[in-house]
Amino acid sequence: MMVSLVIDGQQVYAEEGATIYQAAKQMGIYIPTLCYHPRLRPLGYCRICLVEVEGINKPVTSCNTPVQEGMRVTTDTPAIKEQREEILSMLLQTHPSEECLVCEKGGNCDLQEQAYQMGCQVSRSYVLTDEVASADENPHIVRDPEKCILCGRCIRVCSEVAQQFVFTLKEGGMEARAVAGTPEKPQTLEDAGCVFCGNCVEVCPVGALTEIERATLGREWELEPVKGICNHCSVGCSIVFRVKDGKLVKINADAEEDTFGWICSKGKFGYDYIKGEERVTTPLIRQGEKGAGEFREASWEEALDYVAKGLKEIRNEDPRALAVLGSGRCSNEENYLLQKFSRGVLGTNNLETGVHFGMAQAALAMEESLGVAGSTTTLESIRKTETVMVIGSDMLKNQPVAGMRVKEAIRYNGTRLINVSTQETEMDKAAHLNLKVRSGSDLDLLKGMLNYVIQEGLLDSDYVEKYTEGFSELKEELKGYTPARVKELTGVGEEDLARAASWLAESNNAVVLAGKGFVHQQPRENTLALVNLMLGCGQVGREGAGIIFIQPRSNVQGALDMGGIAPLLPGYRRVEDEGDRQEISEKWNLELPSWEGKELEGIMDAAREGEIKGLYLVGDALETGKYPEREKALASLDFLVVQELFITSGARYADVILPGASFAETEGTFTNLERKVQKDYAALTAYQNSRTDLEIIQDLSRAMGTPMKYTSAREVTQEISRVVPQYGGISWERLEGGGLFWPCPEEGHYGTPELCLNGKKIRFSTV
Amino acid sequence: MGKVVFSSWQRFIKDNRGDSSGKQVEASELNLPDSLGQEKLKAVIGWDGLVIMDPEVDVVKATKAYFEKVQEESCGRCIPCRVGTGMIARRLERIDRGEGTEDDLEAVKKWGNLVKDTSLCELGQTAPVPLLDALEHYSEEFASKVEGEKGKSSDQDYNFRSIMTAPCLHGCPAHVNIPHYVGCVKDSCFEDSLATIREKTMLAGVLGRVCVHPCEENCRRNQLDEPVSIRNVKRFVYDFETEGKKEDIVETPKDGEKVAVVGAGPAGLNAAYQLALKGHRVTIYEALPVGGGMLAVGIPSYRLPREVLNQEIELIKKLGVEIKYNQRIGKDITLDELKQNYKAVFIGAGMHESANMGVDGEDKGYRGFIPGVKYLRDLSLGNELDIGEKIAVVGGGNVAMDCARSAIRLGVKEVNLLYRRSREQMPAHEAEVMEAEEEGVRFHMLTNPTRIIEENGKVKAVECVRMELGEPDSSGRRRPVPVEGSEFELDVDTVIPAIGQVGEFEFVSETSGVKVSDRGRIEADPVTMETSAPGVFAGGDAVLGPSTVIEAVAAGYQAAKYMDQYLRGGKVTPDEEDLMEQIIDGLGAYDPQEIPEAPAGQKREKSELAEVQERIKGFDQVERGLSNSAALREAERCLRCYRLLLAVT
Ligand SMILES: Cc1cc2nc3c(=O)[nH]c(=O)nc-3n(C[C@H](O)[C@H](O)[C@H](O)COP(=O)(O)OP(=O)(O)OC[C@H]3O[C@@H](n4cnc5c(N)ncnc54)[C@H](O)[C@@H]3O)c2cc1C
Ligand code: SF4
Ligand code: SF4
Ligand code: SF4
Ligand code: SF4
Ligand code: FES
Repeated sequence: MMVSLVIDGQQVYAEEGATIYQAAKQMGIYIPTLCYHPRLRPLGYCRICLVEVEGINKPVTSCNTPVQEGMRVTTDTPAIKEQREEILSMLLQTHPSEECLVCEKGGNCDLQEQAYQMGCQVSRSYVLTDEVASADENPHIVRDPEKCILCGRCIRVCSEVAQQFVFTLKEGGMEARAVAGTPEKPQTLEDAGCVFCGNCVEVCPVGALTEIERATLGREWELEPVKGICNHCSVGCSIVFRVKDGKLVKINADAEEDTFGWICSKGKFGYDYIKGEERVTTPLIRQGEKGAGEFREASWEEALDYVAKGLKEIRNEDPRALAVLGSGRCSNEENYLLQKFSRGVLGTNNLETGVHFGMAQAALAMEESLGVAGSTTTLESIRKTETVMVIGSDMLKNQPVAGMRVKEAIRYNGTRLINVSTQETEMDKAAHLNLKVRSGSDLDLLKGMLNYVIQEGLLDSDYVEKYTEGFSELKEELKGYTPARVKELTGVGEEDLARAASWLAESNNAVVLAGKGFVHQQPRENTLALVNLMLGCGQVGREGAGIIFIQPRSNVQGALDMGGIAPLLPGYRRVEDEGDRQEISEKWNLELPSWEGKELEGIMDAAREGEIKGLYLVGDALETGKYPEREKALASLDFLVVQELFITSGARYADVILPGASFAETEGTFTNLERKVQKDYAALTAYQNSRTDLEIIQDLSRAMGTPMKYTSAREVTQEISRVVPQYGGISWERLEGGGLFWPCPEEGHYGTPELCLNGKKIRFSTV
Repeated sequence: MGKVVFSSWQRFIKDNRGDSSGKQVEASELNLPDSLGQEKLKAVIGWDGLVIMDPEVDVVKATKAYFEKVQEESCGRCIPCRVGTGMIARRLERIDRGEGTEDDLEAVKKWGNLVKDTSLCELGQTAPVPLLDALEHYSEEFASKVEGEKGKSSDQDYNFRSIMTAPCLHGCPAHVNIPHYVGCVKDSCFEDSLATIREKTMLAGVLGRVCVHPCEENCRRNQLDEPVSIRNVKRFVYDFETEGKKEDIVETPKDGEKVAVVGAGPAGLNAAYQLALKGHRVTIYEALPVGGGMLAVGIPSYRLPREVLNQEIELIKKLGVEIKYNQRIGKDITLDELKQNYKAVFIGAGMHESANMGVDGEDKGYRGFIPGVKYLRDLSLGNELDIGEKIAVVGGGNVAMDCARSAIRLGVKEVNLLYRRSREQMPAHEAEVMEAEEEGVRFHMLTNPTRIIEENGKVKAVECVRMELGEPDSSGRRRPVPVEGSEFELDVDTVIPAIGQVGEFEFVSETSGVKVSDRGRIEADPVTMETSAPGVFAGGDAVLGPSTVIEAVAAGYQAAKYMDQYLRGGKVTPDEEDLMEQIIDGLGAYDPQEIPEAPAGQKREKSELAEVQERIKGFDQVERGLSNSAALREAERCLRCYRLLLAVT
């Protein structure tokens, strides 16, 4: 409903529930603020945003007063202006203004800005009396309580968004402070439960909370903002790199983006590795024994020739002896080129570039049953749902910003959380119902839940009737999965099963978030059973309901879309399909191998057995740190090319190491767990003598005698839009305005955030 | 009675200084006591002005002391109050020292107005009120200090005591810190909110459902639009923190004394909870097989699900309180034995017998004549109910509603409710009456039963007479008088009187020294809850007559406080807090004439009700409570009306 009111003589229409401040802003009327933050609940603390409302004999704060029909507001009477100035002057009395000289926040400080705009006198009678506790030791955040203006934002962001409740207000007039811990017992941030998501630093209007790392690296106004996409996990948060003189000073959440707009510790502080020190700065060629890690520096020319020669030798003998592996952090363009290079230039289908095996199987099962190889809905659905079931994911730890969203929904929307896991997770505390399942028994649990739904008459029959087929067979098949039997199979109690199943079935909307643990064993079967359950509950095909896959790395979805797995070609075409192969071959003007390629584990086995002799390894795809047994396979290779930032444990076996570029140095697109394609901009140029993956692949291709002619990553994106039907309408120009959800088949298409079941009949799968 | 020298309380200036021509105001006209404990009350300074009772009082010093307290209590959220009152306090201190200047006086006045007009909450908005009054009406005193006069007195000559209150908080018999727990909800800290309530009582979930919320009648928003839905906010934080989670509590170390509590009703439970928090070893003796008193055997479960009650009782037990069920004092063990075996005893035995109607046949033991409280008790305990198909419930209060609405849920075909006055005069809550009507209870207003008609020892009908309203009685309500010749019979097979409860205090032996009044209530001090027998305390319905859960809770809290005092020092005297409360009682913390200067028209959020058709099928909870977003919006409506009072002695 709209409300009409008058602000400074202008007629204004505002949404019911909007504040006076918001209504004024929308009319371009400026009201100064200090504690207000657009993405937090209004605080009303600072009193700077005062306005006059007719009929009320005291000024009111515009930031937290809802508009009302017929209200008459004046924003800048002389009295109001004087009051604002007085209040700000009072505040300045408690602020060590002389420190502005050396304050990190100088130039981007809300207090400085307001004081300047109002022309406040800076007082020399500084009245802060008590000794302020010194900042605590921690690796990331500098706290300078003396500069704190007690706006309350950090307290609020920590209780609303991170929900760690680290900060509290220690009351007591001028002695009041924002403290970590309790007022009675202030603690260090860490002891008070801080997870260093950094969102308090993001919202602090002054220099009371700043990043340790950025100290003395640059003044705020010197920092150039470059938009980017966080590369640490599949949520794909929008971030802003702050760069000075080609150096990264800090990373901020991108508040303007349509994502949740918050950040986590990995995104905020986990960029050490970009900065160099340990990075490989120039191509290296092995000198001593394999695995010894002794290398000599080489020019790019020499290194590329060396690699081309090595790979050619094996290819000419038998391309099946070659394999390509890429990491889940590469862009769509890199993934695309890598598998193109693999199939078209090296002639091998032995490849796995950037996908996650279990997630890929799950996506293919989704494609098989629902026609979409990924999530059916977006993270925004979490805000609109009554029940969330997390299965096999410790999101709060691994995909924290998505985890925060779940917590937000619980606290503000009353959403219920069911947490299915085999071990203890961070989610346990947040959940209303924890189902601890025996490892590998997800399938039985899901079947048991659906059977319960059917037996208890909770089935969404209208939905099943309208959108599905094959229900009667399924019903028969599930009969045996009684709660008692499921308890035996999974360890989940009958009552818990019943509660979980009824919550999913009875909620108007329910969302399932399926993580790595869910696809660890039997990914295909688990996925099909999950789809069955959600169809039975009528929970697929609209906003607020559906299935979301919480993929482990940043571009797992994009890599699969690009055909980064042996049996697939870009756009979910199949290698085994003659027509599909033909189509791609023509588009690329390259011969494509038709034989069945191997996936990661297969490649490892074949390498150990000497079947595979040459490997081109891009990024830390093998995670040898985590899986040291894979080193053996690397040791058995005749020829190993590693493209990396560092000499990882696996890279020690390389014959050649090609120095790649970090995500901050790369330009391209990434596809997150929602199927949202987003544009990442390069904040830095490639470090020293390193090159971007895109350049290197092209260089290699040229050295192999098959030059690729892309002048920029943009041209690769353009090719992708021609080759991958789901990306048909995706271009950099369009992505500038925010991400697009595939399928986005053509230029004018708005993308598809929600899987829509219109007119489709989905078949229940028997598993 | 002391004379008032000057008062600006309630914005009404009474100045009796100098000339004696004006009418002298007595302290009693402001309902102020003469003294605070043993000390003479010299002045009171607070949110609504200043009252000077001793002409010698140093007003500058008192105002300074007041501002120092304001600074301490200022929460620090908003700049004007956090910094402004601090700056004022500093300048006042300088002026009081005799080192102030004219500029300081100007500054203090200017800041005072700013703080008053722009602070976030009532504390800041009201703090300058007495200052500005003093500056105006005691300007010479300020002037002479500015001119360098050192002043006739020093800080040591006075005792300054202060107390924070709020209208709602004061209106709540248990003085639960409402602005704070509602504020915690604003701040998203639901856990802290619950903890704040639990400082006063464990029964947050219970009260969130059944409290009659006198706080809301005292909410300042009444004058603006509608009161804050305080009870529902309380219920929300309990529900949020409890749903699906295991709330836990750690046992407190017990270094105190052995204490016995009679009755596990809200009064007894809260006394036990508070005593356990203070480290005493408490044993509750409860006659029934369940805990909760009327919460368990009175209030029907569609209003108070037993899981909520039991969860909270469980937490009290976890704290280290022992509850012995099926132990009736006077039967299984005597009060004298308790007195011997324990260092102190609290009696919270409630009132569990139905009052007589004074109607022919009610004492004959006819089948089908079931006293209301017995009927509800049997229903709650799962005992067999001998209830028919057409029933008449007699009474117009909440208990009568509970009886009638329960009967509907039991599937009784025809539920009649007889009340001798008019509908408007029904003491039951309006919402209860409406819900009962929706559910199909047939109301017979201005109808009084006169005789129970039986057949073979079983109720067959009830004879009634029509009433009309006559002259007002002592309560101001018009008295119902029978209309002659209007008798009629109502065919019913069951009659349930629910016109009030009486206590059963035979166990209170002469030897115990505890007095029972002629009205059948245990006598106890209204503040300390001590009875005429040292070491024996009492509270709740047993002392007050049928009252409310929150009053019982308050009694338990007070009793525990003074039992602790007794156990530690052997004496029982009202403490400073309660003495200060008496001053506030006199002045009133809530002024229904005062209209807050704040935006009006923010609607009160309402709890959703289950559909009538669903409701009458069984005893499922009727009220759904507030949604999370509604609870937050409701909390935002709170004006945070903290106010500070300083007593000068
Ligand atoms: C039907 C009904 C509905 C009500 N609804 C509301 C409501 O919605 N809101 C509200 O605020 N108030 C309500 N009340 C009033 C409220 O329940 C009482 O005011 C409150 O319970 C009084 O608490 P208490 O602890 O003093 O006594 P009780 O709750 O009566 O508890 C006394 C306990 O002492 C036990 N006891 C008694 N004698 C002995 C003995 N000799 N030995 C051992 N144990 C003994 C009893 O068994 C009982 O458990 C209602 C009352 C009734 C009857
Ligand atoms: S530390 Fe920063 S965000 Fe927190 S209260 Fe102080 S000024 Fe505000
Ligand atoms: S949630 Fe993931 S994408 Fe977002 S900031 Fe954290 S690591 Fe980066
Ligand atoms: S007590 Fe009220 S007026 Fe004072 S600082 Fe806190 S919010 Fe502001
Ligand atoms: S507005 Fe809030 S603080 Fe004021 S009386 Fe009402 S509930 Fe209490
Ligand atoms: S911006 Fe409105 S009170 Fe601070």
